Amino acid sequence: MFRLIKYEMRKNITSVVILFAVIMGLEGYFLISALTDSRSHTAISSSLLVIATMVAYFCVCIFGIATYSKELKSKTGYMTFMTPISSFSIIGSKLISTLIEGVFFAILLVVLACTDMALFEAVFPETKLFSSFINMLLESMGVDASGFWLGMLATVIELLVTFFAIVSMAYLAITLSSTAFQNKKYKGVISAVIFIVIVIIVSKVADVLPNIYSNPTSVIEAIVSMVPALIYFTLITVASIFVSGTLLEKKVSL
Amino acid sequence: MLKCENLVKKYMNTTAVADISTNIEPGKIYALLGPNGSGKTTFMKIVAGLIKPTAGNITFEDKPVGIYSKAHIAYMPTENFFYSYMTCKDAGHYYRDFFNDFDEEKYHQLLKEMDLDLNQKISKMSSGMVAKAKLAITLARNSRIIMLDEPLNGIDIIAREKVINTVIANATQDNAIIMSSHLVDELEKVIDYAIFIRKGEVVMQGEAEELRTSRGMSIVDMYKQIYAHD
Repeated sequence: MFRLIKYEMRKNITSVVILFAVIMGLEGYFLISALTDSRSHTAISSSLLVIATMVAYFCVCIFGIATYSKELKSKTGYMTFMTPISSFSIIGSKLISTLIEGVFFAILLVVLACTDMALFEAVFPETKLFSSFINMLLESMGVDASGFWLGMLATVIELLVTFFAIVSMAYLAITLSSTAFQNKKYKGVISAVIFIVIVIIVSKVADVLPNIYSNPTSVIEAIVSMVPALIYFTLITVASIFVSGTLLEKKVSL
Repeated sequence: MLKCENLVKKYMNTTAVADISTNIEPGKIYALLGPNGSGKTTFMKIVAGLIKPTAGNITFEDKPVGIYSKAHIAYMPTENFFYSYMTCKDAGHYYRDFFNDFDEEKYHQLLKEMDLDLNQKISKMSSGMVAKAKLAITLARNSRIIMLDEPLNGIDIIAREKVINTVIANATQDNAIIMSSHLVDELEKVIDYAIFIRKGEVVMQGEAEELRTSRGMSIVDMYKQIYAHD
């Protein structure tokens, strides 16, 4: 499977490099703006960096989904499916390579955010008041530094779990359109419709999950209240991978 | 070695393979003959494990087609299936990484014979060059079964003989080579066994020499007779 991951990464390298270049371009814009004391440009560039963070999340998600879709719908899929490797390993390698790309961008953006915030405060000292206000607010809520980072970690885990649930549900929709519905016209539309239907059903069920703390008053309570959703979305991911892999093993048609 | 019993593959209202039963044994070169749309490619894809049949049985060395058979069956599709970034070198590394029967030295030798540059991007090659690259990478696997779907497509008339000779040079007593083509006259002189497919069904099959003797005509003439009214 590690060999497959290597080739998955190679296939996506152009898109990853473009996304990286865009983020670094925005970072360059921010640095020049901050170091030249240009408030308006600093505001624009920092806003663009925040938007880029969200865009990067969706881009990595789309890269992961697009590579799987292409595999099942274009002739290059022969390269992968001719190899003596199970369908589960093929799906697993795609998910892991998507995870690696996601972690790479997450680390890059966190490092940039920390250095940029420090630079921002150094260049514009008055913004220290804002961060002091945030710290006071957190302290009044009983959140100390360790609690804050624990909360951040829990949020990152929640983002990762939901990210994988979305990607694996998209894999399931694409697999269904290429296997069980392979004989139908407009397979692309079918996979989009299936994906939307799956997401709606999964969201509806998520809404009725048990609420451990309806109004969490501490970080620990907030983290504990995430647990049912984390377990649920992990199960959704596992089930989607299992169904996709089984369908590919039994009904693949390239 | 490979046993196919009553294979069927249906798509919507189309039946690509209606009924194919045949056995593939080592030490022979097989010709899969039939016009476009007769089901040759679908049959090969079923053997390669790229398509699951709607009905029927297919086993390789008594095991269902799957991971084991993929390790021992090499398939060359008609299309350019390489990733867009790949050079001949990258494609060779890919095959080396995934197929234990891939002989990298043989691959380089075959590329040299085909006048192909190891570092040239395959997506930038002419269709004839891509056809040669596909052939080189497939024949560089020392597989039990080598399937070549339309190996002469896109190959100019001068290079065809070279391609045919390369295929013959790779035929051994331990492997079986299956070639599909509608250029029957090119295959006539090299094949041991002919399988005629018409509308997804095997209409005639047998040892090439026996067929010629019993019917008193060449494989080319048999082809013309079978498909004249299609």
